[in-house]
Amino acid sequence: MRHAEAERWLPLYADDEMDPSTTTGMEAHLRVCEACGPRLEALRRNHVVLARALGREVAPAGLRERILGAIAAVEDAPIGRRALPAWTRYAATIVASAVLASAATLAVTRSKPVQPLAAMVFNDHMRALTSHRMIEVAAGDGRPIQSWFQGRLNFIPPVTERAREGLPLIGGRVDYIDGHAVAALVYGRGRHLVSLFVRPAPGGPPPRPASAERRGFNCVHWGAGGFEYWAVADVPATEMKQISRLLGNRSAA
Amino acid sequence: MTQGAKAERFMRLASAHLEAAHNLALWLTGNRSDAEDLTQDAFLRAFRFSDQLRGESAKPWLLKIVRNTHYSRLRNVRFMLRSTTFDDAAGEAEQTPADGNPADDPEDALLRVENDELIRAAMRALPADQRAILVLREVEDMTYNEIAVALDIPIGTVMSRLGRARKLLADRVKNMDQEAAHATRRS
Repeated sequence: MRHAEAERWLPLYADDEMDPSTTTGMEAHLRVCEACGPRLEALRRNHVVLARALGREVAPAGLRERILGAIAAVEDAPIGRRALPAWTRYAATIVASAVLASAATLAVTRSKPVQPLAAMVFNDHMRALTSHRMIEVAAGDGRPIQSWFQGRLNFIPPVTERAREGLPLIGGRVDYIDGHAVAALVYGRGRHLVSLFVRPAPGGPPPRPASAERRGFNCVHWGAGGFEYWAVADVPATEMKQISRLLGNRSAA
Repeated sequence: MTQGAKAERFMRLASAHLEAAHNLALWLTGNRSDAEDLTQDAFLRAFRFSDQLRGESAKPWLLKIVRNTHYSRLRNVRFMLRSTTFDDAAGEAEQTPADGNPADDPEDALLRVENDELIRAAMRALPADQRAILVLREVEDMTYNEIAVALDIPIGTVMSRLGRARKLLADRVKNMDQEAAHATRRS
């Protein structure tokens, strides 16, 4: 792993959230890099300090017994008196099914190996989300977003506007895939943010459209018009496919 | 299952997370007596739904109930008047462009000052949702996925909220430390 990638992904690594296929490369880099090692130590130290400062107070001695007593009191009450108001039972059903649904998500999102570039895309998107660097330029402040990339990249990415289809362009940033600067366009989809990575196709046959899933994130990769695209967001695979279609992935039609 | 066995099973799975629930309650309510009430209410509520409790995911499940109980109590006016923490209007700020100061870039919201009291004071000034996410990540060591369950938000939102909370906290700690140093010099 190059230093540039390791440096960007270090906070994800410190949180134990990096794509598993990239951790070996990270650990090899950490053994030799004089900058990343101390920085990881600082991040870990930060975590230890926060855990201590924010978790210092212990629960009062009698609390466990009070809770046990309260539960026993609920149990001992006659069924009629214990019955909850109808709306509470209704709410309980909703909460319970929501909890079950989220538990199911947790269970099925165990990660499986993904292709190396997709792993980088996952790391980059997650890193951008946590770093306050999701966008370096905002869309809609008068200038077309392409002009911002001029001088920052050696190509100008095509930009698709899909606000009317519920996929507004929010902004862009420069990100890196495989050591090369690429354009990352950021779109909004309801409560979710989508990163669309764009780079010129490296030549040869266009990439076969592919998709990958990791811990609740989905990624679709395709080629069109001399460019390669990766779209990634924390939405289900079917919606990710739909988003990629809006962004020009004809194979997802 | 008899009621007694149900209570026993529930406490076996849930009581391991009593400290976690109480600490979250403390940061959500901002004071000890409300935190104790909230923890007890949340455990009672959890007990009623305990048929759905799974051993492996008990912690996010339980902490989610703590948070939900807190918000349903906030809707109660009496409780709201006593609480000083109804400050979630800030909510999820929309994405703003980074300030473009490369000097800030690799620092990742590190704390420059390791003063527990200062950190706790800075924490109290954050919105409740940011306090909650910092507690779940830094104290409880929960994964982004578990936090998504506990806070009932998409995992992408977990990451952006966590990033924002860490930065805000580190900035506040730094500012408060500078103010304190300033005040000392003046006196």
